[in-house]
Amino acid sequence: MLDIIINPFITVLLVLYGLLGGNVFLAIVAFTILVRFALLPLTMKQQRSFKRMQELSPKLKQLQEKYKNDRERLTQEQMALYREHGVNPFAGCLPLLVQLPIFLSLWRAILATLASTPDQLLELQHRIMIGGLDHLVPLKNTFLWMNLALPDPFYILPILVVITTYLQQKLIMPVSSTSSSSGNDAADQAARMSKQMTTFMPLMFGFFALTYSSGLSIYFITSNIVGIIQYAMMGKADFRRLIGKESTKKEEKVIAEMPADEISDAVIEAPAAKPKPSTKTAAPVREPRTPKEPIEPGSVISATGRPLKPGISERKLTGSAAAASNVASSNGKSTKTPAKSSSRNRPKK
Amino acid sequence: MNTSRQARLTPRYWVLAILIIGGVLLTACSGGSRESWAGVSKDANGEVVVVSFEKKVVAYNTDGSRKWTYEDSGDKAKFYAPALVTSDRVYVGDYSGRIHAINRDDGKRIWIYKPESRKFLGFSLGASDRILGPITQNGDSLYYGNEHGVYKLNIANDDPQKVWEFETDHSVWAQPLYVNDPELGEPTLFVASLDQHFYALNPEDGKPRWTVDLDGALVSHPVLDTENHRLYIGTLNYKLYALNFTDGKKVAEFKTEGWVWDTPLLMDSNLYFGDLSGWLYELPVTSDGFGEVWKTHLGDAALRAAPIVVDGVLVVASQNEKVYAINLEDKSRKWEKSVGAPAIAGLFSVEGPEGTLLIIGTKDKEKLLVALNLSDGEQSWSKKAEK
Repeated sequence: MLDIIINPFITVLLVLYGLLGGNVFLAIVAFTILVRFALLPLTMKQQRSFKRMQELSPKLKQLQEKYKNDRERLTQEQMALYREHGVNPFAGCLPLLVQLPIFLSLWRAILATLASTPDQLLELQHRIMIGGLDHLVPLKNTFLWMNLALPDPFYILPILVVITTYLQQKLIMPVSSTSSSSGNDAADQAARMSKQMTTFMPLMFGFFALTYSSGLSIYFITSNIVGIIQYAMMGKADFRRLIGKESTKKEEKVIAEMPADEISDAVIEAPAAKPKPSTKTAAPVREPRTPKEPIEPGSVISATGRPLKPGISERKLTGSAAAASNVASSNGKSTKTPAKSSSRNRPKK
Repeated sequence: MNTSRQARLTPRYWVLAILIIGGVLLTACSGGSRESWAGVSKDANGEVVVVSFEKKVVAYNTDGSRKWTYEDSGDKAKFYAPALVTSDRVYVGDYSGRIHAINRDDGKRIWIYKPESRKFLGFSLGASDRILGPITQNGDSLYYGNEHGVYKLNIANDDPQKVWEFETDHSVWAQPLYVNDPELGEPTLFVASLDQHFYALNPEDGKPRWTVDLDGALVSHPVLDTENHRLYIGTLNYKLYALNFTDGKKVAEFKTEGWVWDTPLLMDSNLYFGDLSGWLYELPVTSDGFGEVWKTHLGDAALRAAPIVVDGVLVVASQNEKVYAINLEDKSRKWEKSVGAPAIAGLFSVEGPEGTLLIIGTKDKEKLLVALNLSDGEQSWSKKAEK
């Protein structure tokens, strides 16, 4: 069934192998990079979908609370919410579903072209789609100390697979994965899931690297490095997480951490405590806030951590200002609201 | 309850589920678990049939009764290479690069040769030089190929010692061909490699006499034509070559419809061979090169094993599970039978209790070995892989 993808991949891999002077290592690296970049639109779409789902998470929670005794209504309301925001709940998974057979095929293509067993070599003739490549078969499978058709005897590649997979997971996981318990069940579940994936994925791929050919390990490592670079270029990778520091990207704070009962249709209620008049809180929106500046209870903090005008919290905030605001409540607990794309209602100075 | 249900339906759970499914698919579909089909062979007199498959080497009598089973459980050896069956020994290489000498009568181990581990910057790489091809014997010398080249062992006094090794750029799955012909002047060892080169080596020291690049992987050894002083060898690049065996010069080449895997059969100045696209050929050998070919298409499935000719009948086994018997004289179909498994592992004939039997090796563990009567193609017996 996957042959429709595997066979073109095998052909491309052979072309690259021919172009790169018969170096199978370079061919696998180049091939992996090509495939990763070809899948970039899907990767970006997946990230956007996840983010939008996260943004809707508080509202979903709210609906669950509201219709906890009426399952049918709950489903209807959830679907209505999705429709209203133009979100497909499975849109984040669909790109992954599309990618999965592609990566499976990539894996199979590498194994097939290395043709380390008679069985694999026997099938190869019918998989090459362009004439004139047969003289390249089978690929020379030695590189440095490795027979690329066999697992690395020194375990160096499996270790690199584990490390790069972990790094990629750590860098791209949403902030919730590094947050502590927020008191929100859904957010906690998501955080636990993210942590599990950060642990599970490197181990799983490490196991594959130990079991299967070194050529696949090269694919994993290249794929992970390219993935990290891609996410960094998209501004999604936060390298501070590697040293255990909280993300500096406040706008990416997971909305699901906010208790649902504090959110009401994007209306942020003013805290009970009256904000202290302060030149700091009255400072222009674009002026950066000093790192050690205390957050006053009841003050409104912008997405970038800048304080807004004192009266702003009494207004009905919609759009990006409401979405990206952090409200320091009277008990000092910081909460966050979803970011929205519209900028029409951005608070003015 | 609702919260947990909601959590189960979050996209992240879907992602994890997809990853797990993907992992299972990777494990199941990667092809990494598939290694090879069984190695099947017989002795020169056709009295013993030996099958090497996974952890066992099993010898059968021609009536299908089991003679003995050999297993190296200590080192968990795995066998796929066809065994060399001599008058008193069976020699077979395993998937860890070792050579096993087994008593042909009782299946008891005589010795195991364990090669030194290869090294990289002084660090041992472990013994992983898989042996997939048959061994060649000449007196006290054994020649065999593995993933790095070809080797000579001196087995005098049952004390195997490596004499030399000749490194190639890819695996050697073909059986080395030892030729001692007056035309050659001195004995020569011919080695075909997946690195697309064909080597003529001095069997004494392993030094190459000449090398020829055939621009296609070579899986099996050539057939020797002493009359015309040639070697004929097929490649995985749609070609079959005739080479002068004294210097390796190409005498002629023949374009095929598919890759040629196995050694052609040379009989009465005709070459018989199949290709992986399902074509069967009869190619006359002439003083100039090749004559006019006769060919027939037996389906798209591979004809991996070389055909045989027995009593004027050309027999060929196909990956499409069928065995075809063709009258050589008029090329009419004598019979066509299904063996119920891809018949790619090997094909030869032996004399059974009730006439000539065709022994067919397949890829299917449930029918690893099938014996058909030459006369009508009916199955005489079959053997499963031993557990």
